[in-house]
Amino acid sequence: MRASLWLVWREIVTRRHSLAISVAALSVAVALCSATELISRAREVAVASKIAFKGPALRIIPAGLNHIDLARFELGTVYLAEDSIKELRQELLPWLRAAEGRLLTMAPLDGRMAPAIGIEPSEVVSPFNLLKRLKVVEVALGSELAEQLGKRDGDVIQVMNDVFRIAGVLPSTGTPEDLALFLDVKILRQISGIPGINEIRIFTKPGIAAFEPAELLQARHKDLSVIIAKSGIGTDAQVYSSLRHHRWVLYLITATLAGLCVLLWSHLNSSERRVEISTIVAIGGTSSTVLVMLSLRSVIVGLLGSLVGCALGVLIVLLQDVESASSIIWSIDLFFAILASVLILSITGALPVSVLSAFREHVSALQEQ
Amino acid sequence: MLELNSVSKTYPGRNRLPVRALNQVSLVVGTGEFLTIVGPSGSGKSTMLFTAGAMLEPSEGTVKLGGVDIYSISKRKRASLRRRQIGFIFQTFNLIPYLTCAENVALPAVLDGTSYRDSRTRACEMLNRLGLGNRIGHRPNELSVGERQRVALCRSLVNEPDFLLADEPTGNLDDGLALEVIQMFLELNDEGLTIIAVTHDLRFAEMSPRILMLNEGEVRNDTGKSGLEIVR
Repeated sequence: MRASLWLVWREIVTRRHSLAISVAALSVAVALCSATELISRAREVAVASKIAFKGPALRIIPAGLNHIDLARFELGTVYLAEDSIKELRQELLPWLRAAEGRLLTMAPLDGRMAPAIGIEPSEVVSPFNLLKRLKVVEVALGSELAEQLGKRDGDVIQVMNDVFRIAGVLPSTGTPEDLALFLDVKILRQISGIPGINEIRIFTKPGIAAFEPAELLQARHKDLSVIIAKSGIGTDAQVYSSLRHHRWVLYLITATLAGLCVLLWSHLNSSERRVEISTIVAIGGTSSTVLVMLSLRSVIVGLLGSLVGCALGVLIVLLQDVESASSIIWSIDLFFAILASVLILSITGALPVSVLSAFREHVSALQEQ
Repeated sequence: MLELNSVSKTYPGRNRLPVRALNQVSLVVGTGEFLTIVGPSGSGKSTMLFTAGAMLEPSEGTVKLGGVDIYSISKRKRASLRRRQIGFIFQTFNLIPYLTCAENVALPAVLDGTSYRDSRTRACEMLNRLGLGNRIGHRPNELSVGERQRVALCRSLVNEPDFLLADEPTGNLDDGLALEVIQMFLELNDEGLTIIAVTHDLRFAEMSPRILMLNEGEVRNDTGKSGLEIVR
């Protein structure tokens, strides 16, 4: 092993140019894949946040109710246990980005009945930070409701018998929720007398079509109605899925080409060094000395190729798409995946040639000179 | 002592017609002997040398080195035997192009598990002894042909082997250098090293005490220790 290491080291130091060409070829392939993946990831996150603005992919309500009841806030007194959200989180884990439980009802508000939404501020999924910071003594108003009531930030409002401070008015979303009052779910439970939640909002990961988890839930839970947000999300998922497949095909083709390159240069390298390898065996080297020597060389090329390739990939992203640069710091997993893949590729690509070179009959090379 | 007992070697030839390179060759080379093997091209000289050198397993017969059948032991042990007991010299020297002179000479010692530092020290001593002290850091392509041959000789001797096997050691050298090499071989033999050399060079053969003539894979003449006349 020590002798093999020493020979590899001496060879790559002396034949730097040959090594550089191999590393350059491999790093181009790595740069292509890493830059594509970094930009795609950044774009996926950007699109996902836009999709999140549209609302959840799935809404789960008690069985027997439908989306019209939901839109009218007429869900009655039927409810789901507070813990049911934990159970659903486990079941939907592969697809799940976030899940949020809410209580929707009508509540007496300044002498009239108005839609009220009970939320758990620490779990809320919304582009509006106002809801995430909502305190127990505060409420937030939908834009339409605030206009109807003539209320604004800092005003107070009476809900049932209690008075709350208005923490803010939400921007218009163009949905029935513009007419609603938002407050802590624990308070709304006390007001409404409903002890649980009656809506669970499921946000899927970017590019996940909602149909598969919806089918699973409908098959397993007869006590639930599942409403799929069809507008936009299905199409987005198809686009995501198509692009992801294309990316994987691209990576597969690149890996195949890189593997063929590894095989080719290993073959050229061992052919060129046939006499040298046979001489090493003649003066006392073993087949494993040769095998380790050739494999190690390939590993070093792979290691350097992936490091240089990743650096090149980052550079390409920075030069081409500055907005995607933020995704680089979150992509350590990608760099490790590339490193592992290239090392596996380098070893497996070079192995057939290394084995043939190490275990062939060496005398013919010495006699053919 | 090296013993070849009824050794035959058959290569798979073209058109599935086997080529018999050695045919029932028996030979005993005692410690401290200097044997040259001569014969026309294709007579089996190199095959015999590599068979004796634990590099090429015979199709029939046995090869014993110090009483041990070298083809009945594991490949790893055979490699160890090549490192410690046998030194090889090739016609084209076969120096490793990316190693310096000192590194080339140190290689068999490094392969044998000696530390690089100790191997290099030993290699430098050998190179100095053969007048190559000023070439220690040079690569083979920076050396003259004669210098390369001397580096190859140093490499073959660095592990202090019992046998030196040389395949056409003067084949690539001019007359002056060839004589120099022959002289070095004679000196090494005087120091007790057993030498077996394959050669076309009759001057070389005539200077060795024992000559073996091969033709078509068979021993045609062996002057032996009795000093029989070589048949030209």
